[in-house]
Amino acid sequence: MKYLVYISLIASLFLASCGNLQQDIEIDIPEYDPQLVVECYLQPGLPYFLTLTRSQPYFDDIRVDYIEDAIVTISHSGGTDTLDEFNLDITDPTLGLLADTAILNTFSSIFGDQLTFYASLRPVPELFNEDFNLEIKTLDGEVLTAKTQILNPVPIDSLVQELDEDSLAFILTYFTDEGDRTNYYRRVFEAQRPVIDSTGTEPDTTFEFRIIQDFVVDDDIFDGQPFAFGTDFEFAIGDTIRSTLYHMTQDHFEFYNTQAAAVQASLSPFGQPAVVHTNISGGRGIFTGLVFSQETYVIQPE
Amino acid sequence: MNYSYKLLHRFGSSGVPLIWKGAHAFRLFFLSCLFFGFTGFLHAQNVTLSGTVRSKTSGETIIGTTVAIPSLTKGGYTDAYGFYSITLPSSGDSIEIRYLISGYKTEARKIVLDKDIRIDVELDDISLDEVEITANSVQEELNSTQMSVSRITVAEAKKLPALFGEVDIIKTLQLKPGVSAGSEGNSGIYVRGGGADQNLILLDNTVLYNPNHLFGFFSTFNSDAVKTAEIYKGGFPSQYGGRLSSVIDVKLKEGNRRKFSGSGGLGLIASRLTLEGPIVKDKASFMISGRRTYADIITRGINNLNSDNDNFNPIPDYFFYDLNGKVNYELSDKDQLFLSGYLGRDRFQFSDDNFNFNFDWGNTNANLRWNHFFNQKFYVNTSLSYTDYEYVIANRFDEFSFEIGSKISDGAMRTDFTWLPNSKHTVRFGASGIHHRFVVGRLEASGGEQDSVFNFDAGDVYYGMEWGAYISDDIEFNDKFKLNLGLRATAFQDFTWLYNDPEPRADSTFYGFLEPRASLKYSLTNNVSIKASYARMAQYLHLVANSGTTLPTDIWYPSTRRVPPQSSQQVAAGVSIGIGENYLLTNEVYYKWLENQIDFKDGANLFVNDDLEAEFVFGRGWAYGNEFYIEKTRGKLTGWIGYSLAWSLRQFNDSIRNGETDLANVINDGEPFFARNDKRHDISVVAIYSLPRTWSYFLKNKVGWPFKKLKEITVSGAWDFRSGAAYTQAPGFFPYFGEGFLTTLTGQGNAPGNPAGPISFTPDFTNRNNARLPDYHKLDLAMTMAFKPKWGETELIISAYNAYNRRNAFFVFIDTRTNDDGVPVGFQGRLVSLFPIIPSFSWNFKF
Repeated sequence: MKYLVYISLIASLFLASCGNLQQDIEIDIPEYDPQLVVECYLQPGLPYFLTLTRSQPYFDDIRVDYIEDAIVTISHSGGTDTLDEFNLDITDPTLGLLADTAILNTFSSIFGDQLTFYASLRPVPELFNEDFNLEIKTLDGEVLTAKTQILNPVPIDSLVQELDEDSLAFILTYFTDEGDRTNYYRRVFEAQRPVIDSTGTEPDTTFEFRIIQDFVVDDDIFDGQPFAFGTDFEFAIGDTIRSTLYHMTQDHFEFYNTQAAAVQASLSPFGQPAVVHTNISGGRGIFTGLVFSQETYVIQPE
Repeated sequence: MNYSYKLLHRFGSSGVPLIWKGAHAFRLFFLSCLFFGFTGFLHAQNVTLSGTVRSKTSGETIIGTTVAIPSLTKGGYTDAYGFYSITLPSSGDSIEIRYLISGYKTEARKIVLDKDIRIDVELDDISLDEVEITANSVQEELNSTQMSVSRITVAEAKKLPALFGEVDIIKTLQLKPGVSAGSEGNSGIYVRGGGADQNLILLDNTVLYNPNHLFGFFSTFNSDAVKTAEIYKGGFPSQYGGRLSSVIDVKLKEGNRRKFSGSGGLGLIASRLTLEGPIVKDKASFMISGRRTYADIITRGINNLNSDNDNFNPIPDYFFYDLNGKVNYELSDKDQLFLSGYLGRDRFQFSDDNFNFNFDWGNTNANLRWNHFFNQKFYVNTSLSYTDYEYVIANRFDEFSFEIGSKISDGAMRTDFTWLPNSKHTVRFGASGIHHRFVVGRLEASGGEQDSVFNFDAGDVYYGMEWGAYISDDIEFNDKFKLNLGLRATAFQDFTWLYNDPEPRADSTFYGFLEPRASLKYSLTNNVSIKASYARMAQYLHLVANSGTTLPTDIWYPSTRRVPPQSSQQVAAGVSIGIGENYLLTNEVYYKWLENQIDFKDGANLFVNDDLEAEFVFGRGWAYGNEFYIEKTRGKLTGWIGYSLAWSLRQFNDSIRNGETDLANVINDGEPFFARNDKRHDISVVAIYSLPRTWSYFLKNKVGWPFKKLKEITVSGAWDFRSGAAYTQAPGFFPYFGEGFLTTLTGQGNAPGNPAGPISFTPDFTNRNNARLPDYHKLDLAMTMAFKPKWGETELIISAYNAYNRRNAFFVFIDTRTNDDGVPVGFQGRLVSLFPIIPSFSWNFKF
């Protein structure tokens, strides 16, 4: 009997030791000098919006470190716009965050009670392919500068559907690349789907667009040629789909790619470490134009 | 003499132009050949003692046998083909010759040396109950000019603990100083600060491009088929080239020439079977060996049992197998043919009603070698070989399918001459030509009925020729001083244009290198030698791998106009001390310079990329260190302690090359950083102990069954410590709001794909390889019980991998830290281990 006890004990110890192949560790990282971080997307017709924060050491508690009282100007051929500081009360019921306690808790934990940003109510002018210059001066005397353009939108030529024998549709989005320079695109394809309610079900009463595809490409393989993005056979007759084509600046394209790679690299042992690209002189982040073409389509029976 | 070298560039460290273009440089090489050749005639005529040493049991040649003539204090060793040739002064007296090697009984012959004489010797195997485990010969190590080399035999490897009981020669080599493993359980090898692609891995003289099964957890070498393995870490002999950091030379068994026999084993994850025997007794023999894992048989059974369960997710199938075969035929006293081959495949597959995913990878190689003796002092080995490595990922979803893959395939011919003109010289020379074909990032996709909706393919095919010619002379000036001088000339021509365009292109790439090699030995006393070596190496092929571990999807890429060859120079110096007859102590220091090292731009896309070269960044590296090694080679207790203290750094600063800074081609702001495989301390302690006979006697006679036929018990242990590898850790993070965050929150509308929140936090990477994984250490234990039933021999091996259950890092990742409400409040490093303590057993047999 005592042998059985020993054997059971050894087996239990072994099984216990086999579990839990993950454990928390302290990572010894080099000293970090926090950097100013800017995000500003110039969308013609909408107000200027800009966030100005400071990065944090990796293992500090998350708390967005807003930079207040900075002087932010954006100049272009139409003049210079100065952005004012705004403080958004995240408990403001008009934002709709109060309805969801979890979101509100998350926001207040990360952002504090208010969210600070810079904006100008004057809309961003439609000055395609012209320079916009950003300058930021902080109270501490730090100066950030950046330059970008708002590229012209590249139109979607057509949406073409194909139906298979099960009457499921495949959609091709045709457009024509401009051949005079290297172009960068972001392709977003969405389909309307029922909104999932708080119980986790789809009551089929309200609908929203959900992203099916979202990726960026350059025009290396179709330079100056008509090209089409496809989908899978997955849309039923009557489905509403929306296809969007962003025309990105090279800086935005590289920021987008390296930002995604940086996130991936910290999650996976097979990711390639990436220093996030920036066009902000003196800091991190991105200053870029944001334009797109968009077509909406309802799947038709043949 | 007017040498019109057309220089591509100079090397800063040496200042000597060693990359050249044009045929004139070959003159220098052949003049050098003539120099070496003439030196052979400067000595008086002697007599030559030569022959082949074989096992009496199997008839196989024995590598590394010491052939000693004590009365003349002369000797030599059998080479990779079991052949020896020693030139001695003519004498009318009778002298004694002794043949010694571990595992065999010493043989002595008496002869009169008044003419050239050939003596073929057969040595008796030492039977199980006489086993005395020995390793490298102390005297051979002391006398040879070769340094920085480690040898292991399969018998030695089989006594050591192994993961899942699966004996792995590569993992045994990882226990030698200067040879480091990749991540936990990985068979990847990093030698003296070099990369995983900088190892020339030869299986019977044919390159093996991917020596791994199961994503690197097992090597492709089936221990039952292997005869010996050697690893050269520096002081490379001239016959080897094409990689910068090491040569791993694995020789297959030739097959029993006397009788039909077999061996095999059952393990936890795989089974093995090897059959060998004579085709024509004492003239021809064969060996065929196979191994296969069987986890897929179990998983298929589970899947079948749950086939009616809609909620059951089928378990993917995985298995690997490999086959080794070899045939040899003795055409005459002077000619022998060898044909060997390898086929190995890993297969991962998953399928259900609509979806099918197959991932296959593996090597194929074949080698035909002709061994011809012109006379006792001059012989040649000529071989034709083919090798390929391929991976294919085939994916089908309904009517749509895509297939991606890459392949490298080589056809090669090489010839190696050995000439022993007199007792003072051993001259080796030869040449080789390799035709490479690279299929890089092949993609084929089709969809719709009869591929009507889309059907396209992409990818590049490159062709290249790699040539090599070498000469070396091992010169014995006197009993104390030996010098090995060698020169290797190599070249690479990109022939892609020849296949794509019949007109030669003016910019067709041609690279060439002269690779001088030198090593010397000076014996301070009979038991103390000092050694030094220099070697220059060139590498024309590059492995495109973007992770810290070797993967089947890594791509071999040729040198092209935009991708120059890698090169290295290494100097090493050391001392070898024989302590009595049983102990060998060596200590070596080395410094290695690496040029044109390849890394990748931040965020590089290496998977199905039509312009891979645009992602490459070129830089330099350097590595240095000290390796201490003490080995007990004889007795009941054998083993070794190795310790290496090493540094390995890289620098990618394109401004060094071009005179201006190109930020896209700079890593780490152009500053030096530690290579990922930089491991400051590496300690291994290995012990194999043959228990006193009283143990087996007690079990056999007092306990009885199942120990009735027990002959011997051996216990072994291996403790391995390595400083944590370097990796890149972001020291900071910043919030990433995204394009639609503020416009949505302020009711200004939103663009598709840019939802408002939750915002993400982006790691702010700064310096490359700025953090360290935790130190790695583990202890493996094994006990081998050898039995001798009437029909043959068996072994039961019980082992424990990671005996004290250390959680070593396979990798670390960053997880989100949350508060009690589940709200993210910060980040936490998490370590992922692969292997806890793993007890296993395997049973081997031999008949």
